[in-house]
Amino acid sequence: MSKKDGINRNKEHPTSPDTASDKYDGLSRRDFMRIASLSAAGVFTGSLMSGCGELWERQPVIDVDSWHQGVCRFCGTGCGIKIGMSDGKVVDVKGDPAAHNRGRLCIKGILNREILYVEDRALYPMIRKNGELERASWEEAMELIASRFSQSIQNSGPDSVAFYGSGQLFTEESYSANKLFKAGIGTNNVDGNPRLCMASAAVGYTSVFGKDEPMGCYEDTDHADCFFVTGSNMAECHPIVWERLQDRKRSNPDTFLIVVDPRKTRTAEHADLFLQIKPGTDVALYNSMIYEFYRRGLVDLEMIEDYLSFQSGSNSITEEQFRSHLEKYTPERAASVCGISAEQIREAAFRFGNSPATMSFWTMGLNQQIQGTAANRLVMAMHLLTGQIGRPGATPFSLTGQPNAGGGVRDTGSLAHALPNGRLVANPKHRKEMEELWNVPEGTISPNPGHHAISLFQAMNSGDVECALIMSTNPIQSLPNILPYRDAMENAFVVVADAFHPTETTKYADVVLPAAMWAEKGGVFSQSERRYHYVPNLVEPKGEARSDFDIIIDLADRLGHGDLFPNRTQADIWEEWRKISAHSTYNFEGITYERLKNQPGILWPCPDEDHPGTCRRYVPGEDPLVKDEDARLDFYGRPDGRALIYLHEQGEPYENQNEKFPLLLTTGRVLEHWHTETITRRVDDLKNIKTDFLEVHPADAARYGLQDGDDVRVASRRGDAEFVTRITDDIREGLVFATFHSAKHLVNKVTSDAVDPFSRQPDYKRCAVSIEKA
Amino acid sequence: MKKFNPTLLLSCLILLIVSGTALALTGIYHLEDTPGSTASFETVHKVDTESFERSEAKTTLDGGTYANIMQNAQTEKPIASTAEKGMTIGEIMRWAGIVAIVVAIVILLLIEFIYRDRINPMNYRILLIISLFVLPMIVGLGTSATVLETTKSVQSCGSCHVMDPFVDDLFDAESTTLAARHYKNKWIPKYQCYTCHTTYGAHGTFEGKRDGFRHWLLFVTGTWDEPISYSGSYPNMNCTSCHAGTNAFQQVKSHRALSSKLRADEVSCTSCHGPAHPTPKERVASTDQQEIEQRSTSAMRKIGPEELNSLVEALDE
Repeated sequence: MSKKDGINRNKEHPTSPDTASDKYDGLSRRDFMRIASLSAAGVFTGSLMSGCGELWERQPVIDVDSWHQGVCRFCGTGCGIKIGMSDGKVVDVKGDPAAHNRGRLCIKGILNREILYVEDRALYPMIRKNGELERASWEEAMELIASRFSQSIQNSGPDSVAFYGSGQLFTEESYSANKLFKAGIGTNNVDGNPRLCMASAAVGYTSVFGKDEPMGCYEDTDHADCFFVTGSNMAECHPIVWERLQDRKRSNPDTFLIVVDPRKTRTAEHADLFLQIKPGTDVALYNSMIYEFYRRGLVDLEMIEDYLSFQSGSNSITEEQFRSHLEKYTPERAASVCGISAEQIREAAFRFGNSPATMSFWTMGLNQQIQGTAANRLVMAMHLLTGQIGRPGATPFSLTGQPNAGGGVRDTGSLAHALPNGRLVANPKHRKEMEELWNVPEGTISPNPGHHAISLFQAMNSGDVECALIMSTNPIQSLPNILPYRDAMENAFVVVADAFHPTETTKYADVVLPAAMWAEKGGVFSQSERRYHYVPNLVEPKGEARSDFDIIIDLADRLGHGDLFPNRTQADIWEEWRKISAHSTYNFEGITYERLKNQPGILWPCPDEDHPGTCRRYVPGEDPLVKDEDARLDFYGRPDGRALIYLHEQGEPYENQNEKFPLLLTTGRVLEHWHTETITRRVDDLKNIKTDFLEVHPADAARYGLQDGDDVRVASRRGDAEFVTRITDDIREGLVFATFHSAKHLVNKVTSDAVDPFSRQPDYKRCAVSIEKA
Repeated sequence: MKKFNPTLLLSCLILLIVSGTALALTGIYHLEDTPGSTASFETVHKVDTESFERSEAKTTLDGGTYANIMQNAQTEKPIASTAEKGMTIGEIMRWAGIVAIVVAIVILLLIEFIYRDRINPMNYRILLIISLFVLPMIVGLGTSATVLETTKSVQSCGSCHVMDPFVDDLFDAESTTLAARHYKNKWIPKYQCYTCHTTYGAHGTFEGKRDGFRHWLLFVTGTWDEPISYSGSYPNMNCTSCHAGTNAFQQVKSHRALSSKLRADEVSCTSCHGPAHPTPKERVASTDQQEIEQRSTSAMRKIGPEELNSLVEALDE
């Protein structure tokens, strides 16, 4: 202080330093006043400066250094987001106004800003030693994995190892894993969680149109006059697509909304016509609606004449045969099967067929049942027969559940029966094409389809599959009838790469690899409407975590298949993949990393870099792959250009209700949580959102002596789980509902692993159960 | 002579101030209430009030108390008809201002030219103080209140062309932005811009006016950037002051989960319920669309009725 005073004084009295030093021992009154006034002025100016911004302009609550274009981590809506970074951390996430979601996000989308920093992130590799998972080095873990995989391949053949992937991996990752296993190791044991959610839709589209993925896009929502939402609780599971549908109703209040669901969901609350059918009876409903189309003359004769063929199983049939099959499905008969009134069916059929443009939405309610493929085909048939297709607003649109199930898994063919771009393992021509494109010797790709999800875990249990790599998914919670598959995890050597530990699956793993997630790695996602879009790599992975891509490439090197990936980066893999796509009708060669980084995604087909992307496939003037420009539609995926109408009968339930199991159980989700809650349950804001409830109809509650809030045990022939009773008349009598989110209340101990005969997708939506007070 | 000059100067000065204020007041008066200006404003922005009859209360606020309140409000408080409005504070203040200015002028004229020599100097000074300071103060207050009040109106915001896309959208019955829905469903009876763009609470009006002043400054200096965007975090209090008390709001679990973030404005209501206004892309698109429409209507005019008939016949064939 005195030194400072000296300086001040010297400045003031430069000519008399001596007198000055004589004069002052401490602080003079004058100096004190000066310092005081100076500091006061300083404080005043300082406060003015710091508050200046607010005086002039409103300031953001969260300080952000830079904004980056990205994509939400969660559902298949695939909302465009802006990621706000500060000091190398993600601090804010908001909707991208330029993307299809118009800047909107649901609560999960907003909380993307927290997911990287929640507890229980997997930080280092772990190896199970003496029954316990212990910390290990990457080298040790990868060496162990490589040696166990090579050992099994050598001793028991390539089909003794498997890959179980996820619709949450980037396209480059799924593609590389698929290539490593099918073209390197030589096994088709590549499947993943999309089998549990999308398989029926994929088989539906492929069998009807010849090629997978919807032909319409979100923009159709803005033009539809009637929405047919069946087996989808869009308001909770795809809230942002739902908002767009609501927008259409807001701008055109005459828009009619039909909802088919056994529960009066939040979606159904907004319906103009709500068909609360019994679970698993929708095939009868669709057949009956088609019957009504014919009866009312709503069938589009031009479509039947020029663009459609009829099929029963693998035999083609005539339209007359198809119509005579429909005779069994008069609205009266169907009404008794579905548990609704015949008048409701007639009204629904009239509205569907008569509106200027009808758009259907569906998800798990359709896909997750043993007649999932049949239901998918029939909804598509309803559109084809009434001509509600290929016009703005007229399209059958399947919603996906994961951020990259479509582009990552379905299009790359990372499924046991498939090869890239709609090719099939069973087809020798397709195998040969892929062998050429992948530049591997002829005969490398095995002609035997691999194990699909359920059968894969059964094979792990029986010992047929000895080693498995599970990435970015939590099957030991999400598979149906989960108890036997826990043993499978113990019998086989299982490597789990996940961003979180513990999960139900890592608990049973032999090796746990910490994986980077979302913005800790960059890559391409593709959502429901065929839109490829890019997630940027913005932050360093937590702990020792690596991207799934690095793990796959490392494993390829150690198994001696490094030459399959001559260029090591993800960008090179994308280059390779988009060029391969040009050899198919899934052509997106024009979608480069560069373009994706500069705009919120592009819809394929997109054959060259100047092409803006395609909203409606098979439509001349829109789809660049259409050959006949004068036609109304061109289903170029089919050899004869005609889409197929399949004949399907309403089947019997695989499991009957009886005195011991008198009720039906169906499963679903809530808006705030996602899938097995691996991420969302760990976000602070979502911890109080309950997912442990069982919805029971008041009559059933009275019958079993249940009060709201009582603990209740649900039991099926396979297992039981406990929930908290929630009494509501939004559910049909005789039906109970639980979410599959909670790991503590595992509904999948109860559900059945019976699968659809075509898609091999399990039926989560209907099983016979009993309930009792716990 | 010595006495005359300063008085004349003073009188001129007073007259100048008084007439200036009077002119400003007349201007403000003219701006708000002239039916002609409202009509021309509505024509420019293509307001089609009839198309607002279709309500979406059912689809958005199913059964909530908010919907009921708002539906009642709809019948009680019709908007867009200034004639039916009662006296607002702004109007009272305007009239107070006008009366004050007239009284001040009269007093000044009287004491200066008629009663100058007949009243004693003390009274003269008191009257001078009243007419020069007290009454002008009332005028000043009245003017500020009127300006504050009239700048709340949609017309006032829409008078600047930068706001065109937003005001056009507000009046677009088919638009699904929050602003347009609040307007067409009559959820906000009047001052639709201002209601959502002030902050409720102690500093509210100040913040609203600060933003208004900044916008004006940017506008007159021509220094704003297109596309314009909201600066800083939107204060959710603007939404919650109406919505937070309703069942419809409280029943939503996401609202409860995010309550602290919503209170701190770390998450905006518009994050899920937006966009409040057309997005930058849509603003451009709507301008393009208007141009196309204008072009096609002008092209239509060139086709005569006979030609049109022949075209229709050709189409039929």
